[in-house]
Amino acid sequence: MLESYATRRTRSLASRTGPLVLLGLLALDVRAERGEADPFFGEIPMVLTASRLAQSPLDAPAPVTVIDREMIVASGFNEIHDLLRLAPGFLVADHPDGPPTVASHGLGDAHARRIKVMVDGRTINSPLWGNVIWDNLPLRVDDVERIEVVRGPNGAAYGVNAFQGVVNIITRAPSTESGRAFVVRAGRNGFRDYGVRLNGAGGGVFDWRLSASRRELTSFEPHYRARLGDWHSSESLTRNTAHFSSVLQLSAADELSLQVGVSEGSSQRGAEAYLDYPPHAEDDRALHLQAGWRRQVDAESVLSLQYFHQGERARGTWPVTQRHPTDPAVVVRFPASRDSEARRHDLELQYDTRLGRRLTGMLGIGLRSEHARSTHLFGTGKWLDSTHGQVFGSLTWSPLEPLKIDLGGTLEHHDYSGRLFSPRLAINYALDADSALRLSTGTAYRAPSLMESRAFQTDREDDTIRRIGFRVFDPLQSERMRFVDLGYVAQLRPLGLNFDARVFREHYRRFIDDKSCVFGECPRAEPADYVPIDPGKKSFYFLNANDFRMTGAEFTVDWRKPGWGRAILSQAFIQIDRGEPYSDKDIPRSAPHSTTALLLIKDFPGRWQASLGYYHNGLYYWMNGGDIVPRTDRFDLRIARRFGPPGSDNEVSLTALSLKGRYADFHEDKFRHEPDLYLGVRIGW
Amino acid sequence: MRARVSRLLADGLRVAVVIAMFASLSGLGVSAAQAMEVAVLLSEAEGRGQRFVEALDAALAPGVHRLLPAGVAGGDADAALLERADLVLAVGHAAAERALRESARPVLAVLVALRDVDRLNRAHPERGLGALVLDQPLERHLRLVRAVLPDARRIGVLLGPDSVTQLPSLNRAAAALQFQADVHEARQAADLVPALDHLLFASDALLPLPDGLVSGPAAARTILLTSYRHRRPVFAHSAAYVTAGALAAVFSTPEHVAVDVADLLAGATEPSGLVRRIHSPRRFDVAVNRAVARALGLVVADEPALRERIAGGTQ
Repeated sequence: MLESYATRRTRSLASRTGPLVLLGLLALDVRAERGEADPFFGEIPMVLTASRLAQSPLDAPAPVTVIDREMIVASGFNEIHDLLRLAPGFLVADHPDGPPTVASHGLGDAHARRIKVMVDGRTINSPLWGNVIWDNLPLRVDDVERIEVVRGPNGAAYGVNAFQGVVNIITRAPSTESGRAFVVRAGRNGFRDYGVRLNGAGGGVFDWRLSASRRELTSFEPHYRARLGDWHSSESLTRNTAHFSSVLQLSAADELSLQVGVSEGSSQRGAEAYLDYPPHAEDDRALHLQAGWRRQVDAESVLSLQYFHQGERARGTWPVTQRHPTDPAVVVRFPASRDSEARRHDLELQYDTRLGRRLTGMLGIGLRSEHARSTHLFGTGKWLDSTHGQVFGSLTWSPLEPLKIDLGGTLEHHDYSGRLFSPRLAINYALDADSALRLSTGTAYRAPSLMESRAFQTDREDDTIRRIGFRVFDPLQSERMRFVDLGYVAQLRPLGLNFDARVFREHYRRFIDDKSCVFGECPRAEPADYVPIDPGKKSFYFLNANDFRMTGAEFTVDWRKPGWGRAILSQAFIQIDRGEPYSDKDIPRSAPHSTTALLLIKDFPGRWQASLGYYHNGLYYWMNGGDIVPRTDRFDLRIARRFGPPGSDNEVSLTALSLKGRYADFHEDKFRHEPDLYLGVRIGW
Repeated sequence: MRARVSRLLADGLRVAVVIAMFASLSGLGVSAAQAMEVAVLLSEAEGRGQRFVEALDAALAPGVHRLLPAGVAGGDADAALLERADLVLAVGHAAAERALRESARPVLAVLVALRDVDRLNRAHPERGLGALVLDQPLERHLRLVRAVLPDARRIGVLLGPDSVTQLPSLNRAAAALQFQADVHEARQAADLVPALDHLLFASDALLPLPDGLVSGPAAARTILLTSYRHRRPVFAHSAAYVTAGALAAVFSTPEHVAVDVADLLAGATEPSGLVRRIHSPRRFDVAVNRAVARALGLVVADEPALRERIAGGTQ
């Protein structure tokens, strides 16, 4: 179903735009090839529009970190989620029972879902849990141009679920690349990563790129927990990805873009002695199609229309063995599964314009439908459907030269949560040309995800329910956060120094958590067909838990000296309090008091470059399935040498991630993440 | 008696006015006997050619030369006027091409690019076409870079098939202003990305010179996106390029060119003084894309200050 739908949309788009494409190519490309463009009065499309330019932190109504290409390469990370370690206050973890997880300032679990993640403006959070399936993105690190991270709530701009932060992954524009390239990374533990990149010629009206890769890695080996004498899972992944990106400049004012991506592969998970989770294979597939049209109405007005489709499919079945707690002779075996399918269609129209000499505005409307099916997760084989609609807008008024006032908001109707309005007021005051103060305040919401609204996760032996995982007893209300943020940003060019600091306070209300209960002690009567072998095994239900407060401070210093190198230091301090009695004692412990990220990049003669990454976190806890992560000091090292024509990306590199070896990840007792040591080569021609 | 005195005074006044007019004309270096009949041939009936003519009409001292409309190159042109005029003022490339083809009179082309003049001179080597081109003196481009980025030392210059002829002049201008110019030529669209990667690797800024390939809309998109990817500003040669995303540009409008042409005509005693020479525009403007400057973390002076710095340097 997924493929046929995507194919139909692709064909449909192609058939509509085909003649236009041809005309555009004929009209513009021929002129360009003949070199007949008028250099002085010829029309040129607006290329670096506000949406393409990274907003200066001096002007941004929210705290923004940009992880640029230089940082991405120097970090040595070969998985996109790891790059977020470079953003102050972000927590990244992996575990062998599912995809990696990313949280900001704590409150994370195996399905961390309080950050909105987008690729070129397309939301990629899963329709099921609201988390991101980081290990199945149809995109590789080599495709990423930069990552813009809003380090705080931004519901006013992106609506519900842009709750603790927004991550926008910007891919490299096809027109900035030409020729072909081959990328290979290979290292210890069977790590293999091969990729090819094919590009159009560049410099034409139709630019395109096709990238494809295959990778094999082992991130966890089976881990023996000496304290309890049990084994925990291993994880080995194989993923194939392909990503096609194209841009067609129809005229000086009109631009069409199309992206199609797919990722699929298997995961070997489980452990021999782990009766709940024996060794087995799971299959995942993700697919997206994104099409956009952008019209430059005039120099300061842009109309854009975007449609995207997102599809996810997971397959995996394994036998679970359970013994009766008091009678070991009673053993039952039943299948467990993670089979699920989810789809999303999203349509968005946006208009940006200048309303006056000192006033700019933006207005948009978005419609989204989501569909999911999983007998295992929802207790029904039917498709569950939901629709959301939103109207969003902002006004930016500059009554005085140094003062900018940004008032924005999103009003939306959400099937799971009703009508919600997320407003924000931000005031930026330029102290001089190089520094500014920012004060912003507002309200953000997180609507319950489909799992938090409809879950009834069961494993059955024929018609008998043997195990219940997550479920919902009562409808949940949206989480709400009221926030205030005070920031200072300075760009001291003569010193090569950028500085960004802020303090903030966030008040959380109706925090959505899950709680465990055992058979017979749960808030509702158990289903008649629920006959557990071990009544002491826990099931989990979602609830609106207690309110609390988060206070934090963070800063980034980015220093660069041409010819020498660069140093980027990020530091965050977080405290969660005022929630006693906590419904979950891990809430205040879910944020490490201190996190540090330091990336040193040193250039050497002969086109050599060395980079050192240092990542520190104080002790903290991942919630709900995760557990304590001890104070950690991690060091990564990368040495690279460029070769080929000046300016080319050709290089050979040696990267060691986690020089100190295996490290406790997500749950100190259970999981040890493998370190990486690999050789990388990139050759373009 | 009083009436006679009045008549004498009036006659005397008239004579004085006529003498004053002659005196002013001779002060401008043009005598009434040397006033030229200038046939103005447009490439298109409307648009920037028309703006040029209106500005020239306003700028030209009255009674010095006679501007006579000779029609439009693509339509009906006044063949008789083109044959008898002292000078044909061809506005735009198409007009210059037709004037050279259909008139034996001296031709001064305006609102044309240097590459157009080179092509026309190659096609009509015997004619000695004169032109006031839109291409700015290279030194002026470099002075803009200096005015915006005082610390810049290395500048990447992107040449195309047309602009490659400017390489010697470019080297001279760069040396005069103590810039190190890294130069790369793109012969076709496919060369652009490698050329840009090469230039942007070490340069402080990129200067794509006016060229049929490099200045095209598709190439401009690649140039602007790649430069932004490398966090390098682009210095361009048209207002449209700045709107599209270049950091700044120096350029001349039709109105600027018209006033320059008025100066040339006022100083000319005969048509031969205007042809066989290529004039650069004296008047120019500067445009800055403030959004791009902000995104690159640059603080750029306002346009009048930049103009002043560039003009001051020129003097």
